[in-house]
Amino acid sequence: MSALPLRVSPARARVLQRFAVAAVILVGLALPFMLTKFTLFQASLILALAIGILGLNLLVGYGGQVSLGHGFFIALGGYTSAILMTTAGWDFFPSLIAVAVISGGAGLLLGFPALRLRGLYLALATLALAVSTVPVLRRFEELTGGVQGIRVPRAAWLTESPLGRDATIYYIVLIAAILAAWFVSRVVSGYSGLAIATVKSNEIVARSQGINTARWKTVLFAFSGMLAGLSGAFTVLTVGFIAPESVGVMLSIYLLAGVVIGGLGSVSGAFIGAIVVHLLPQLAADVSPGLSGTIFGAAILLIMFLMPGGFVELVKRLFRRVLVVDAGRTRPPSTDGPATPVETQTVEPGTEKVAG
Amino acid sequence: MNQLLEQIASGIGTGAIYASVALALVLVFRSTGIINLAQGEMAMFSTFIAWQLNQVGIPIWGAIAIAIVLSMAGGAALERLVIRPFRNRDELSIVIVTLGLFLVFNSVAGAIWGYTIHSFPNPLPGGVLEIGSFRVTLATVGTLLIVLAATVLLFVLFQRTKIGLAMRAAVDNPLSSKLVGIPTGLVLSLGWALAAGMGALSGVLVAPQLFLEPNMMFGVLIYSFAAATLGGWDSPLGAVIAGVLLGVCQNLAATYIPAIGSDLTIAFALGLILLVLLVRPTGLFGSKEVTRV
Repeated sequence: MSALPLRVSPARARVLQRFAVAAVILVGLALPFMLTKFTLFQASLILALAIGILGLNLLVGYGGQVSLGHGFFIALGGYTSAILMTTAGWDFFPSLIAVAVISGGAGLLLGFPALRLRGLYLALATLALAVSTVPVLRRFEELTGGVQGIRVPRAAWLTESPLGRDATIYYIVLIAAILAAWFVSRVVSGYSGLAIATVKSNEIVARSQGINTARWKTVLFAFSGMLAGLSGAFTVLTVGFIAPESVGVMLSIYLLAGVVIGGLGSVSGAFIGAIVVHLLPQLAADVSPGLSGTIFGAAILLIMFLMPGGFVELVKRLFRRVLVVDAGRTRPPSTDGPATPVETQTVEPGTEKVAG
Repeated sequence: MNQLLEQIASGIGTGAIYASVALALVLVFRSTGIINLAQGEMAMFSTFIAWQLNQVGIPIWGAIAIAIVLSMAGGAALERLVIRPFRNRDELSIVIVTLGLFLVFNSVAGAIWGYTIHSFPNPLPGGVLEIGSFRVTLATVGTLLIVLAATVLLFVLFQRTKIGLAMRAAVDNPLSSKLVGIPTGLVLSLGWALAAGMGALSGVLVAPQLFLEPNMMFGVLIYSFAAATLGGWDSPLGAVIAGVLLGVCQNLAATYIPAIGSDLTIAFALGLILLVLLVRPTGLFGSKEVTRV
């Protein structure tokens, strides 16, 4: 055991991180050959949900703005896609562009009033959106199909796909989720990541550094709304159906739970969060249908108690037992005393620079 | 004209209930700095306890009194056992913890008492008060009086007693409060106990109108959250005034703007609040947060 933890330089750590990501993606690509149709369907749903949680995490975890209303964007994206594909006869992929524009635009619009609101007041404003979603959907029945919802017929290219329908859907959602993860990790690194982190930690400092806080906040809302909208569209692609009951207030709260359980401000955490909030209620119902809520609730309490910082913190802590990233340039790898571990996350060195 | 007055009066009755749950939310917020998503479910659970006690033969007011005392004990225990271990975490984590509590209370109540509706005996007299041609039910008047009395009691507790001073101090500056000998832990438990008692009171007041079932408080919770926000999260009086205003607005909108109908009233009410918030971002009676750079 004395060989552990291994010490590696930051450059080596980055390479290892890339390998880890590549390995996860490879497993993702291989899944259709290992899973049954139904589990594959569940996997697609989890990935679609993860895109929404990524979007919310961008806002909450990285931006420090609470939203209790991201279910609204999922509904907006899902319904836009469903209506375009049925009534207007669009194909799925062009509808994605419309979804991105409309839900991103809605996010931008929400960003403007959000500039004046903080904390709980912002939480209420976004909750208002979530609460209004279902009644509005029921009211405009001609467009949304009312309580019945909209059934989206499968396109020919999907049913006749050589891979099979479920695997094709899965691959589409998987690629989308990878792109979304890549997009979010780009946004939160480099200059934009620095700006967002500074706006989150102290707006006045941010402004004194010449960062346009209003612009960054509205941009975050727009990106976040766009990703949540796309999440809705991919969910509709997977399920082939959308109805008001699936986009109620609790969806928004579960999304937030997914962000916190997975890990605030973490891309991989969004995927873990999606797995937890999607599978845990089902597992709880399997254990005891009558007490599923109790089991789910107790599990949330337990997770929060055992894992401060979410699942991602736990994974990181386990990894540190095996692997320590050493800032080799500043001090040589010491043989006796433990060196300060440096986080591999790209945002970290930036924030240090601002603080110093 | 009379119809208008009557609509306002019944709106005040509903609003008083929002006000009482809002008061519970504000109590928890002031003592622990979080919103308790489970507040409504705790109130529902307390109401079931009162109902069960009444079913086994205890007179309704006695049952309510016992339920309130039990709820206060339960609230304090919950703070001590479930919330306290999360004390040093970020607020969002604690909110998710209260989501866990929400699910547990909802599901346990469903498992014990089922999801079918029960009728809850109205503790208030059923008659109608007539002043000239203006009519208002005694239940509305009673609800309003009870909530006002509870508010006044809380106000006196907070502003005129040593305990209240300790509670305000513990929230304002936990470290200094500890240094001057305030048992901050006890104070936090007391905050949760008061909130749970207030919730129980609102539950038994609303149950005769809504019917008793595990999901009865969810809509009320959203309105109360809105009322607390409109009033300003650090102002109990603001929460009460905003709750009553909200009840009146909701009633008037449902009656006089047919395009809104009963479905969209909640959206309308929340939209109104948003407009107010855009002008006054800290609510009607909230004090502005001052940050030191």
